[in-house]
Amino acid sequence: MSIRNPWLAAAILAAIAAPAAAQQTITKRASVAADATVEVSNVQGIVKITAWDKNEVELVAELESDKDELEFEATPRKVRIEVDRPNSRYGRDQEDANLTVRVPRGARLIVDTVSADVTVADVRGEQDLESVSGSVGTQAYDAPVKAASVSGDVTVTGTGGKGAVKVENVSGTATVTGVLGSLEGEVVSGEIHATIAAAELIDVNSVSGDITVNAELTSTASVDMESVSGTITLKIKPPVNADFDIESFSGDIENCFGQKARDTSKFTPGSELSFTQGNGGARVELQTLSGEIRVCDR
Amino acid sequence: MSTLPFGPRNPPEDPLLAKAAELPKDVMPQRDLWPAIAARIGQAGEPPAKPAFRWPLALAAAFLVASVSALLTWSLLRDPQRASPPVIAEAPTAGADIVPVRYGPNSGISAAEIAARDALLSQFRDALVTLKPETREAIQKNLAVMQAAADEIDAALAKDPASGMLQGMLAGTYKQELSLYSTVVTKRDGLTRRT
Amino acid sequence: MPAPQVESSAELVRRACRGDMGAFEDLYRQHVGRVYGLCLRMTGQPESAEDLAQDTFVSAWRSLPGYEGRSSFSTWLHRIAVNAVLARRRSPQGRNEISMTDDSGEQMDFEAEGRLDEATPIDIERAIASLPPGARDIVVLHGIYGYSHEEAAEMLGVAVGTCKAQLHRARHLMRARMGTEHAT
Repeated sequence: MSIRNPWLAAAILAAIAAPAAAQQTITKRASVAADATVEVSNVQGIVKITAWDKNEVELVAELESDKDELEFEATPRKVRIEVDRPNSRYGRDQEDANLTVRVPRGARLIVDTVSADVTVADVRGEQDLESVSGSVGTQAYDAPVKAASVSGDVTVTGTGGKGAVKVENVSGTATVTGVLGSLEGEVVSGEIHATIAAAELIDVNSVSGDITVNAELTSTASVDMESVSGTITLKIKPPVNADFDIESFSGDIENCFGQKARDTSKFTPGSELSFTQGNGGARVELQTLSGEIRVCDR
Repeated sequence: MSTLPFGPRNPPEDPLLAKAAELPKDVMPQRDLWPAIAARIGQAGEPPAKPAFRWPLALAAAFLVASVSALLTWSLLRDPQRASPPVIAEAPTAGADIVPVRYGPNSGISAAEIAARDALLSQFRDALVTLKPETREAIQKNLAVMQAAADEIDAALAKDPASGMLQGMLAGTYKQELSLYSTVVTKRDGLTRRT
Repeated sequence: MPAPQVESSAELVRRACRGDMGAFEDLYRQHVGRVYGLCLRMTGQPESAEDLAQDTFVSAWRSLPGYEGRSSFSTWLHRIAVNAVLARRRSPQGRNEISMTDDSGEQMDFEAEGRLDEATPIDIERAIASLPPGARDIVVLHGIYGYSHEEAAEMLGVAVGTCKAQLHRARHLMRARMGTEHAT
């Protein structure tokens, strides 16, 4: 696709394709930059990534299937680890490939799995972790984190850093705790449970899943929460200084600020509630078609 | 029209954005890109044809999501009265595992958007065989959830066709459907099959 | 001797559609600055921006018959460029190149190229470069290149409300990073 592909730079070491015998353990190591990018792709099993204080990447791969091929490519800037399961069809290939990886603390991570569970601990660089049916769990520091799974659960635990967090689920549950600054989330039928402090941006939506957010808002925060039929519950840490615009087509709007929703129009269904609490400033927009909206400061 | 009253509270243009507007629009690359472009286009004199190159599978899926979502957003911003005739996508033939979402007569989703979705869907069906049965089941259930949402929104649009909120929700449901197919397709391919 | 006339984009497009590579090269020379400028600011990576600018013109060549003149040629090219940036960003290769929210803005080095006017406020370029991607996109399209919220939302494939929220956030982050107010 592009003329100059950094992956083809002369410094790349030869890819190692290692058709493995059953129950084989393979260990690989490479010296890398402190902020090197580490890409991991696995089909089934686990991907466990932890940080250490060395500028090295260490992989210990335990392969149960003799059909799996392990690829390990390393340059000082990038390490690529992939378990390739040719012609994979579920039902025949139930063996696991378990990857335990240690990376520099500042490494960037890109992880893709089909059904392997992903756990990441103590890595401070940017993370993009996705699985189809595996669970995804990590911590957020100062760099952006994206954690997504179709049917597995997603868990992001904040540590006091301000890295933007993005979670995506279809039917799993996304749980985000103790993060600061920015949260984006999308679910279909799964649920989102989040606590966020010093929130500048909250953008969360669902089709039918319930959304529950406990937030401390900055004075210029922007909050957008939307669900077709799920329940939206927003609890804002007092004092609340925000401008609210809440709209529902057929669901109920409840609040503890003493405000009463009014009909949008005498010609169309729907109710809306617009008011300023405290001095205003933060902007809160909540929308639902048929779900419930609950907003309160306690 | 059930839109929310944002106008009076919008702040005036920010001085920082005014400064951004003064930045130079043109920035020249360090090297001349034309030789590489000419080489990729082909021999001189060959007239432009319809796009013939095939994007790699995963990139095609991702690009499709971006392109289709832009197309859908654009169509939702048009005057609804001038929207192209909506298309109700037919259910797939009997025996198919996955039933894509059918968008109702009030959705405003065009034939082009349905075709884009269906192109991605065929790649998605190929990728399904790599998934565990319980994952396939979860996907089927969630497509049913999206279908229920699309039906509910369509019924609401019948009563309030100009509602920006409802149109936005429908766009969101459509994008969720595409995102689901795209996710499965790109995970199936792994790193080695990408560019 | 009269100065050579610069052909309009419309005439050059007509000629390029008939296979005139010279005409397409002229289009490239007329518009590469705006295309590369947009790619560079959206990615924060000069090398990626060069790749994406190339991809944009290659796609444009192949899509020329579909250009109907409803928008300016420059806008049409920008739509192709934005799609290319977003597609690359979603690809695994592109995820490797995602700009970090670097407070020092070191990933962009306009000064080394020496192509900007001395009076250009470098601070604001760095502030924009250090924004998270969603916020940066809207500042580039709306703030620098002057697209409306609706146009930018359509190009980015997001709702207008999301664009406005990202712009709100971008303004706050930029003010904080340029030291004109304390972050709350």
